[in-house]
Amino acid sequence: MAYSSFTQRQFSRSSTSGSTIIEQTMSSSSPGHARRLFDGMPPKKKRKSPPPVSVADRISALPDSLLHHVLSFLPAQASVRTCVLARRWRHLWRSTTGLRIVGLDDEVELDVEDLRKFVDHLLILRERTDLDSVEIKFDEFCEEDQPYVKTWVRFALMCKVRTLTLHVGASEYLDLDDLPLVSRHLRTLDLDGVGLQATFLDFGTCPVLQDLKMSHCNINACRISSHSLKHLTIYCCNSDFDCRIHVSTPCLFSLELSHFSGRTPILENMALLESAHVYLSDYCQDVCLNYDSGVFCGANNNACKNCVPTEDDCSREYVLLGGISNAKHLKLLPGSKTFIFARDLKQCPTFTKLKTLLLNEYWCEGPDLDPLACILKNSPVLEKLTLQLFSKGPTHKVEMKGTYSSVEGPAAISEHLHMVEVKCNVVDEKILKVLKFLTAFNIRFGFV
Amino acid sequence: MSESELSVIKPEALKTYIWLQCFDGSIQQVEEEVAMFCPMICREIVKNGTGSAKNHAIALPERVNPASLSLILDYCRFHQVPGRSNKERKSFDEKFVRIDTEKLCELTSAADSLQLKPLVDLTSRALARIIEGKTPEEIRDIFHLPDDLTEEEKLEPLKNINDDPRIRLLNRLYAKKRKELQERQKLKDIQVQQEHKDERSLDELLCFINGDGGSGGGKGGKSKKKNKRRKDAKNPPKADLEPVNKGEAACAVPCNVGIGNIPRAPCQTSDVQDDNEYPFEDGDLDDGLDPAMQEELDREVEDFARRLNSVWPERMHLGQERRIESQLIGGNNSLQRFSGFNHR
Repeated sequence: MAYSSFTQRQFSRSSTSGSTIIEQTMSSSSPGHARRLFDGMPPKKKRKSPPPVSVADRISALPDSLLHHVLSFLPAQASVRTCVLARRWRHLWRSTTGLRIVGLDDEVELDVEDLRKFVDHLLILRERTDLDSVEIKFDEFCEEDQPYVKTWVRFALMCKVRTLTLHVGASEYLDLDDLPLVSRHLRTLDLDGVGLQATFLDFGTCPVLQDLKMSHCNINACRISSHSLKHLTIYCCNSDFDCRIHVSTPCLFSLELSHFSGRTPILENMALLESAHVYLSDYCQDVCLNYDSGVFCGANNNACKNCVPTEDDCSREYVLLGGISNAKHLKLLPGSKTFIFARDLKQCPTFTKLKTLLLNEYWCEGPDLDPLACILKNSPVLEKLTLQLFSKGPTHKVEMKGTYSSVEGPAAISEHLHMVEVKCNVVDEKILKVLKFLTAFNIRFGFV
Repeated sequence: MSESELSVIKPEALKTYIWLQCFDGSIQQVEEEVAMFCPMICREIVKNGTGSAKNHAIALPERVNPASLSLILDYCRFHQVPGRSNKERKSFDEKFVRIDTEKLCELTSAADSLQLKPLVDLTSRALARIIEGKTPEEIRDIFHLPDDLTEEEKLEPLKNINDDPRIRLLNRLYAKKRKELQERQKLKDIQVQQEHKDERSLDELLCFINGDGGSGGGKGGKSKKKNKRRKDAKNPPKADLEPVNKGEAACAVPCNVGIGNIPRAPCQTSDVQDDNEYPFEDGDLDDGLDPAMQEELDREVEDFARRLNSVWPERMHLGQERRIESQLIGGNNSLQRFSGFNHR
C-alpha cells in the first residue's frame, strides 16, 4: 500500500513524463526485477514484514494521453468528478481530448440553463489543449441561451475540433448565425434540431469537411456546397423556401436523402458517388396533381403540369437522377404521389456504373411499368436487383428469388444480372403483374 | 541456403508467418495477414524487413505482454477478414471487451503501443463505460486506486489549483461578489433592526420631553451622556440583548398609538445607514469623565429607568432604554455603532 502511493506521487510530480518513469524502471532491469517492483517492494526501503499482496493499480499505469482519451468518452461532469479519485487523477480531466457536454442522466430533460454554469467553469478551468471531438446535446433552451450555445460552438472550433456534434431536442430550432463556419480541422459535423442559413451551408471555409449529417434541421438556403465532402446525410429536414436547394458536392462518396419536407433538393453531378439512398416520403411537396384521382400521369397525354416538364421553368433539368446516376449502389424509394423520378426518367439517364439496385412499388406503377423498364434498360452492368413492394421491411413475409439467364433472347437488360429479389407481404395481382413483367425479360422465379 | 530461408520453405506452410517477440523474451508466430492489420507491425515488416524468421523476430514494445498480444491477435484475425458485416463486427467487439478490468487496462495499453487505433477506441470506451455512473468509492474499488487525497482536497478539489492565474482571478471575483452580497445582507438586517428602534426612540423623545424634563442634563452633557450610555449598556448581561430584540415589536405598537409619528424617521434612517457603513469610526472613545460625574450620571439613569419600567411595564430593560436615550440625547448615533457592534 505504501509503495503504491509512492508511485502515485511519482506520477503527479512529473505527470507529463509519468510513463517514462515506469518505462525507465522497467527497461533498466530484467523482467523479474520489474515484477518485484510491482509486488510492493520499493527499491530503497526495506520492509520487515512481507509485502502485502497488493493488486496492482493497472489503470494508473496507463500513460496520460491514454487516460485523457478514456475520459473524453465520459460526459463532462463525470470526467471532472474523477479529480477526487486519487492524486494521479486530480488534473487529468483538464486535458481531455474530447468534451461531451451532455447531461448525466439520460432520462431527465436537459435545459441549457442547467448546463451553463458548469460549462462556464469547465471552459475556464480546462487547459487550452486541442480538442478532437466535442458533443453538445440538450433538450430545452430559451432565447437567452442561444448566444451561449453559439459561443460553445465557436470555442470548439477554436480548439481545432475535428468532430462536432450538436443535438437539440427541443420543439423549436436553435438558429445558428448566418455566418460561415471557419475551420481548417473540422472533418465531421453532426447537427440535429438546428436552423441553418445560406452562409453557414457554404462549406468552402471548411476545406477538410468530409462527413455532414443534418437531421431534423431547418434549411433556409438555396445551396449546400462543399468540395471536400464525402458523406452527406439529410434526414427529416425541411425548407421554408420555394426554390429548390442545390446540393453541390462533386466529391461525394455516399448520400442519404430521406423524409425531406418541402421541394426536393436538386442534386448536382457527383462523379465519384458510390452509393445513394433516396427516400421521398409523403412530406415531399413534389406531388403529382392527378394522383388522387387515380390517373397515372406517366404515359398519358393529359398529364398534370407537375409531371410533364414545361419549357419555361427549370423543370427540364434533372432534379435527382442527374446527380446520382453515377452511383454503383442505389436505393430509390419514393412515395407514390411524387413525380420527381418519373419526370427525371423521361430524360433517359444512363446508369453506367450501377451494380445493385433497390426499388419499391413506385417504379412498378403504370400499365407497362415504365419507370422500372426504363431503369433496367439503362443499367448495362447491373448485377443485383431487389424490389420491395408495399412492404417497408426489414422483414418481409414473402421473398422470392429469381435468376436471369441472358443466353436466351436479346440482351435487353444487363448481362451481368445474376440476382433478382422480390420482397412483399402478400402476393396479389399487383405483385403478379410485376412478376409477369420480369419474366418477359427471362427472369425465372422461385419462392424462398 | 540460410536457415531463415529454409524455415520459410516448409511444405505444409501455405501462408507466410511473422515472428513476434514480447519483452519478456517469448516468441510467437502468427499469420502474416493477421499481423499486418497492426500498423506498427506492418511498418516493421515493410520498412525494416524483420519478422520473417525466428531469430529476426519483431521486438514488440514492453507494454505488450503475452496475454494482451494473444487477445490483440484474435482481434486482428477477426477484423482483417473483409467479408464481415457491420453487425457481426459490432457483436464481436461487444463480446471482446467483456474481460476483467485488469486485463482490459493492459489490453488498452498494449493496443496503444501498437497504434491499433480501432482497438484503442474500443477498449477506451469500455473503460469509460465502467467509470461512468459510479461513485468515486466504487471506481476506486474496481480499479484498486489508492485513496491518497486528504478530505479537504476531496471536498474542494478545485480550490487548490492556485497556480493558474485565471483561477486566481475567478476566485477573487467570487470572493468579491460574496463579500458584496454579505454586506448588502447585513445592511438590510441592520436597517430592519434600526427602523424598529427609530420608532421607539421617537416615542421616547416625546415621553422624555413630556415626562422627565431632565433636558438640562440632556443637552449639556451630550457627550458625557453618550459615553455613559455606552458603558452602561455594556454592563448589563448580554442576555438582555436577545429579549430586547424580540420585544421591539411589542413595544413599538403601544408607543406609536400613544404618541403618533414624527417624520424624523427617514432622516434618521439615512443617518443610520451612513454610520453603519463606517462603523467604529469614532470608536468607543473615552471622553475622560471623572468618576464623580460618572456616578451622578449613573444615578440619574437608574431613576429614569425605574420610572419607565413602572409606567410602561411592557417596555423591557435598562439596557434598551439607555440606548434609546443616548441616541435621542446624543443625536450622533452612538446607538447605531453599538447595535452595529452587537451585530458583528
